[in-house]
Amino acid sequence: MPAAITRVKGKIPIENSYTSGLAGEKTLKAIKEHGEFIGTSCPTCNWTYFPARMFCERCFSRILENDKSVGPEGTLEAVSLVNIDQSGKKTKPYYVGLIKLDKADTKLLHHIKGAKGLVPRPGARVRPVFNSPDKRRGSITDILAFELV
Amino acid sequence: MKPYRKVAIVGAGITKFIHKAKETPKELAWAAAKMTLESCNMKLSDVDAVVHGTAPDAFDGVHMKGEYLAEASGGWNKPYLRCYVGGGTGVFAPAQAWLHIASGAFDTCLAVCEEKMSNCQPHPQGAFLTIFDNFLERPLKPNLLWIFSLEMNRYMSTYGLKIEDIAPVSVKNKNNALDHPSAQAAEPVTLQDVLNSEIMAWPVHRLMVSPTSDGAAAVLLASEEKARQITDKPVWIEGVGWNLDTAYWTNRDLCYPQYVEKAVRMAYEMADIKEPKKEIHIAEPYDPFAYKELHHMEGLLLCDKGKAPEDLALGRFDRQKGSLPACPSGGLLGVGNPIAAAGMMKVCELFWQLRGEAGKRQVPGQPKKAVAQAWGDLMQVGTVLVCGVN
Ligand SMILES: [Zn+2]
Repeated sequence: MPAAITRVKGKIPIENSYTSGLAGEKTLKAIKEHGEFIGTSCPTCNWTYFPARMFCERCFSRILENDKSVGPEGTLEAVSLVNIDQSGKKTKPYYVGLIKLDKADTKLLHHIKGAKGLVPRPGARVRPVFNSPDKRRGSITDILAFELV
Repeated sequence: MKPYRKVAIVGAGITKFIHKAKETPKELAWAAAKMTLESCNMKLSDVDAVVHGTAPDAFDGVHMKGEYLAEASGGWNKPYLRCYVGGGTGVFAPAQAWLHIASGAFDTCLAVCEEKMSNCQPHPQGAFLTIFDNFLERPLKPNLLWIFSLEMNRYMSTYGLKIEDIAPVSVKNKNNALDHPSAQAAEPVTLQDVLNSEIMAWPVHRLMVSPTSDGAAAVLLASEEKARQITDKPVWIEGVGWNLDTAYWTNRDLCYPQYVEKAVRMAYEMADIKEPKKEIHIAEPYDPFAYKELHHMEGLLLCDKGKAPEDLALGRFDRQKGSLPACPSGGLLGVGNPIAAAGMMKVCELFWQLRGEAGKRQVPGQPKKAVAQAWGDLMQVGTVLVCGVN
């Protein structure tokens, strides 16, 4: 502990409790209860958002009620092999990628599972691997990863 | 500062102010922005630029919160600016939107303010603890109420005021808010209720403090030419002002908000107002605490120094019978205090009042000129908007 005369320690003593929102709740509930991907789509812009959104950012329409089932398979748009963890420490390499789910116009970030002799590359087809229903808690991590089809 | 061209408010919208919203901050911001556009039959594609006002990132628990809220405020693929002067943000944001148009840069600008304080645990006060000096103040374990209780005490002792002289502000505002559909803290309270409420830090009582809130509010601004196409009832922004005092809050004379006077003098000069006491018909001073309304009425040059409590007692600030209704909306004490959105709520109120659309809150006698003010940063910023109709 450095001397108080030259340095004092401090932090902002708060934590945050985030709401999933009316749209987010819809998507997370569908993942938890049915292992299904529910987004919402804007008929004006012909644009489908996943996860679901309350409004279309392009035209400002309310689209909360306009559910659209997307995926479950998708196409890898970009991929990386990561060698460090959140704190910057060296770790066992793992893949992350951006997935364009079928029928969605947005991209989803997730872990990608490699397979024996197969390296995930852009353009590859992937599908979700869900946690078992009893272990799902309404989180994006109810999807364990996407694996190569 | 002389504006290059005239700017009007042409639409307004507001969500309910509530303690804990289920919506995300984005969903709240969108609801207010969407309502604003619908109020004047405008589409998102009619908006040239967007200004967003929101207080500390810590409240939403999202760093780069301005960017986080951009598309919810209508900023997707548009020139977008986030501004922030703490509690003063709600009046600062429309002033910045005004600059966008008065300068000639844009013809329409949407100004949106959002705050979600319920995300912040265990209490948003945690974020405020770090506004204090790390060596001189934080070791003393201060909370925000220290500032307000000392400031209220200084105001009282300078002018020989009693708590009873100040508490009626809460009674007036909480009762006014009973007619505001967005209100969170409207209550038919009496003077006795206020005086009997818990003393949080003497002389500040619980019913003299605004609540923490979630909510959003917005206005659409347009150039003169555009405004006349959009509505036959434009509300002109005739003056804007803002001013910052020293961040060493202990060194200011807490009996008088000089930063408010400096801000409002800028706005009055622009609006060509020479005798504010006579020319202003409605005031929406920032009232997170009961004494602050009185403090600010003096800073806005609408009351003599130390005399606002007397004006209050004489009924001058009453919505129906007063000659200068103050906080006809119900203010922060009655409607609620989602920081940035609270100041914007006051600007919305001027818009509805001057158009004769305030419903049960309508100030009689066709008011023509009104002023809204907010206060914040390290308790040293004054932000002001003067509006008028012909
Ligand atoms: Zn759309």
